[in-house]
Amino acid sequence: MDKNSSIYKTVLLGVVCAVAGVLLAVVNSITAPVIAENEIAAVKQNLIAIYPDVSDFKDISEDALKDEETGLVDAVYQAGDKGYIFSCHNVGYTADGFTFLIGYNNDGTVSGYTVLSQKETAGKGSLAFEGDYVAEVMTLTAEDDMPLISGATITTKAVGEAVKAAQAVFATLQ
Amino acid sequence: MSEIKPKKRGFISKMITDNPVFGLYLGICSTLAISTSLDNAIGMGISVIFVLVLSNVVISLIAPITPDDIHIPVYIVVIASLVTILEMFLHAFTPDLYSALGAFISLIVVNCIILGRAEAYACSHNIVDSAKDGLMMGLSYTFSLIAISLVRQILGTGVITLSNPFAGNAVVFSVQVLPKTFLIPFMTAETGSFFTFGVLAAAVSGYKNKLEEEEKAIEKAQKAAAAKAKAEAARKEVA
Repeated sequence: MDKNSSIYKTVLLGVVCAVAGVLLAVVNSITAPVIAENEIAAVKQNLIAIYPDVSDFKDISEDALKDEETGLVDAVYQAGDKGYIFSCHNVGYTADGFTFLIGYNNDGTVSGYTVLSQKETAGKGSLAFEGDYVAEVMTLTAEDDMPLISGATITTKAVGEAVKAAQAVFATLQ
Repeated sequence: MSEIKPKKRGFISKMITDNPVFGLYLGICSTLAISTSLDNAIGMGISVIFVLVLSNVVISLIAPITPDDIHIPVYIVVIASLVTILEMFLHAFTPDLYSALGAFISLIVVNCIILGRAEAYACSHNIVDSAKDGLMMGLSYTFSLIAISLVRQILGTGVITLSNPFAGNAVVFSVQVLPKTFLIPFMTAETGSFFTFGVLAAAVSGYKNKLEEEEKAIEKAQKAAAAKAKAEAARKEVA
């Protein structure tokens, strides 16, 4: 066959791409489960901190976040049959924003509230992730608004927004 | 009369002068960006060697059946597939290295060294030579990465560490080289990579100049010797 005919070129490109596609599919089928496992492992210790007696956490983000529109909820984990944990982020006072986990038991009570990363002003915005505030959040349910802290309104408002988004997802899961 | 021969250059000398980074200024972007630590340098170096050797092999195989005007798309598909395969394996089995190297793994696709070697070498040589060329280029790239990252890590953090990416970054060894009071923290930032690169590139270029001068001097001496021999022969003839 003539090497310079356009049919030859098209077929060759097609064959090369097909071979590449098959190879990639094979490798993906080997690595995808390992990657998913790794990703759960990375957050698992945070999840265990909220539900110490649960060992079976499932990442259900894909289904649970299908209709989530705010984009503030990054991931949803099902903690056995006890409840759900939501990984959320939002931007407060600093542009880097913060990420935190909030867990709800099946009956709607808060099971845990832990910060994963934050750079809010120490002593002001940072209060939204510390002792008293965390204790207060732990007494809330999935219907309550997050309380505001005066002097840290911007941060607590942002936390509230993200929690609202998580609560909306929680409502669809029940 | 003993003949004056140019000195045979060793592997290391070749590694320095034929270096894609310091010698040809190829693939600098990734070099500057990820040479923050020895771990990253070795991880990236091995990744590039893997892609470079395989892409050279595959391309030398398919080059004869590839018409000239579609060779770039074909090569890019080959290289991009190899990089994606590598990326998936790194993501699965060395997650820490994967997050440290970040976007620069995918950017191996557009690393000039790889397409450059495919175009300049692999498409016109056989598999074995192409593989060797890939290995050699990859090693020199790794060598430059390690050189830059060592300087940056020592000056910036004062510690040389090496960790095992397959075992959750367990530290293999860690040596405090500089006391903490003598550190230059910006060496670990982007600025530091430019400084280090500039100094090392100047040193390599100085070394190359020296070699060139030596070669010229040898050539001159050879010519002079030849002329002398000729003159002597002519004199003998006359006599």
